Amino acid sequence: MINVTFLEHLSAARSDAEFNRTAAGLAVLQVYDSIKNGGFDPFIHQDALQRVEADIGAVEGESNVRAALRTIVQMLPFWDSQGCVRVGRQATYTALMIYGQALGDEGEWSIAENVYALVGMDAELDGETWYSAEARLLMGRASRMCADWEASRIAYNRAYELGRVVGDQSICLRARIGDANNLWSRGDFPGATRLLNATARRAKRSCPDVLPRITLALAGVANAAGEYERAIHLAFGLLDSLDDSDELTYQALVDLAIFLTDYGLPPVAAAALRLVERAAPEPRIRRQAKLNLFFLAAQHEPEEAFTELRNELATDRLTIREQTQFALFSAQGLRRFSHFDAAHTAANRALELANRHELFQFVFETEAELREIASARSEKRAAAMPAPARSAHHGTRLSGATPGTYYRFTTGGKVPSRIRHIAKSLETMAAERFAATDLNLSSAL
Amino acid sequence: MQSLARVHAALDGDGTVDVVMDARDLLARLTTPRDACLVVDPALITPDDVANIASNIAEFPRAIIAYSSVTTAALESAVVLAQSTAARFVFRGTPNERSALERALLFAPDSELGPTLLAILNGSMSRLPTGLRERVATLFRNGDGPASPDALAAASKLSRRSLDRHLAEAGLVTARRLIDAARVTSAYRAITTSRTPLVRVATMLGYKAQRTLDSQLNIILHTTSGKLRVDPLPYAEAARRLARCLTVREPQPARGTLRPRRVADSGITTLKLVSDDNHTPPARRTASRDR
Repeated sequence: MINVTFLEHLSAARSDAEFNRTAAGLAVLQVYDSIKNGGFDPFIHQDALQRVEADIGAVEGESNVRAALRTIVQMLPFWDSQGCVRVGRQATYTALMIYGQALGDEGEWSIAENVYALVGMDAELDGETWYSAEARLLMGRASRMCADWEASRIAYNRAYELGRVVGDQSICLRARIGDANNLWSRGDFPGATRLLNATARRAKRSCPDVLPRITLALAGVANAAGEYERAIHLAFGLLDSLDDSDELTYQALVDLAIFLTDYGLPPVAAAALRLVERAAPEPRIRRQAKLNLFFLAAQHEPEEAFTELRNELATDRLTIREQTQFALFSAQGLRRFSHFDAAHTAANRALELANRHELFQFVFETEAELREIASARSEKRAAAMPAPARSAHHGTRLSGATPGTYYRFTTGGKVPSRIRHIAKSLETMAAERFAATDLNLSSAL
Repeated sequence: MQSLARVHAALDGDGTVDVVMDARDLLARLTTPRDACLVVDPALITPDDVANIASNIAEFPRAIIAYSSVTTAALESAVVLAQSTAARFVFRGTPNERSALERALLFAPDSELGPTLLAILNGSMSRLPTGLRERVATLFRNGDGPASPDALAAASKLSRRSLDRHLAEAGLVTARRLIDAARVTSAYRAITTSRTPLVRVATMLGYKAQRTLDSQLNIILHTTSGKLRVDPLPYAEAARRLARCLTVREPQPARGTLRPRRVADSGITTLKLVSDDNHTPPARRTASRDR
């Protein structure tokens, strides 16, 4: 199963970088297969691992995939290590899951799905049920990202069952959140809300740590269903209850920014994103916040702010997915400022990246953007145009849920006092973190 | 630093964290008997340090949790740790790492109960095949391992049927009972010495409610979690009761005695009065039954 997916990717690879990355992954998994079936034999496998190391060396620098593959190679010699606990196997399963997550970060969800399926099956057959449950949980998400709804449902169900076997409520409840995300990604908002509410009741009794994730998922459903104020309230209420060190804080802030943008308050959204960009401990989250800020700049801010962010991002090291987003947002901003040739070049770059890496959602969005550019060029009205009515992209959520399609403009209408309060709280939060705040929102409201 | 913060968060106020800066300091502190759980990052200690730690732990037993990254340096020490101690392992890099760490800290193995139980079961254990014996011993010593009979069979490289046969030949009861007893053993310390609410202990063990945990404890230790917390059993007594539940098959209640009997004619469920029995005519056997 693994080989077929990898071979398909290899045959479809359109660049050396992609080919090398996939080939190195395939080589590592073949050595893993051999060690799993026959045990680690230094005479056979040491050579193979050295060859694989050379393959990994060919993967383009600083890639998470490269680091993850190196980790697997380092763990494989410990596969048969004797002891009460089979640490070598557990570490290898962990390393494989890290590889899957790195593939996901690069947007290569179909390979990630297969890697998780492999770990899930092997760990279960090996009696390592907890690792199997973890792998199934991750597989559920990877399958959802591939729009393979049935596989995702089955993976989440299995994660739930295995979570019950090992007695890990966190896995069970997260599997239910995954199920709910599947439901609302396909438009079943009432079903998702019911499932999330039932899961929240269970979490209160058994595993309160998962409650914030459920709240964030509920906010996502509310936003997708057009209940923007409820979404904002849920996400902001969640921020109040989270500790600064909690990894979910920044995820909640990024999602809150999306809800605020959808509601029509991009300046407040930008404030939330600036907080994340400056304070989030994980580079991945900081980068995503910056990209979302760039999206807002492309749609709503003056050209100077847009150009400044564009120059900053151009020198940042981005994943393939992020490079595609960057090119697309650049095209949108450049069109807005009537730089049609540059916009066309950026859109073509986004289209090329999206096609090469099978990021189909971006293919559709970029094709729409190319049409917008052609239309704006012919009508010569771009300079006076506000943000596009069918703005294709709304930033990227960190919770992995499908972005909503309910963008609303900033109309200039009066903002309800409750939302105004949230905006001011965000401003205070920013002021507390940064002595000299440049996040003056009051004027924006 | 991040690991330290995670351990602190996972403890959730139940206990204090004492940071030890290097292996020498750690070894010095291990020479006193204390009821403290040791959390180590194998990447920060050498295999030689691990050997020294293991010999100290043998003298002054205490629970060990290895909170490890997946690197060669960490694995070299982790392997020695797994071979020479009853450490539980949590690897960094999975989404539910925090939950795994919480469970490892709460269900850190009791340094006396497991070994005492294994000493009582020595006769039965010696009759098990090597792989299965190692897995079962790890279950009771580390409080970690396969979570279901199928997983135990898989981890021991046996079919489920062979597993049951080997257990029966060794004089042990079912694999299911073995897993349940291991679960209770791993929770013994949390029930008797922690301040974690018993409801939480039950749910973190995978039981729906405290009542379910209590019914398990009733079968295995003949007591409830509440009683255990107030008045913990001495280790020897707890181990004796665990060993009995693992080696003696309790007589099953006769079929039908727990349920009201259904009267065949009317289909109405009813209880039979003693006085009725005196007047009930003896049932006539049918010819088909005789054959």
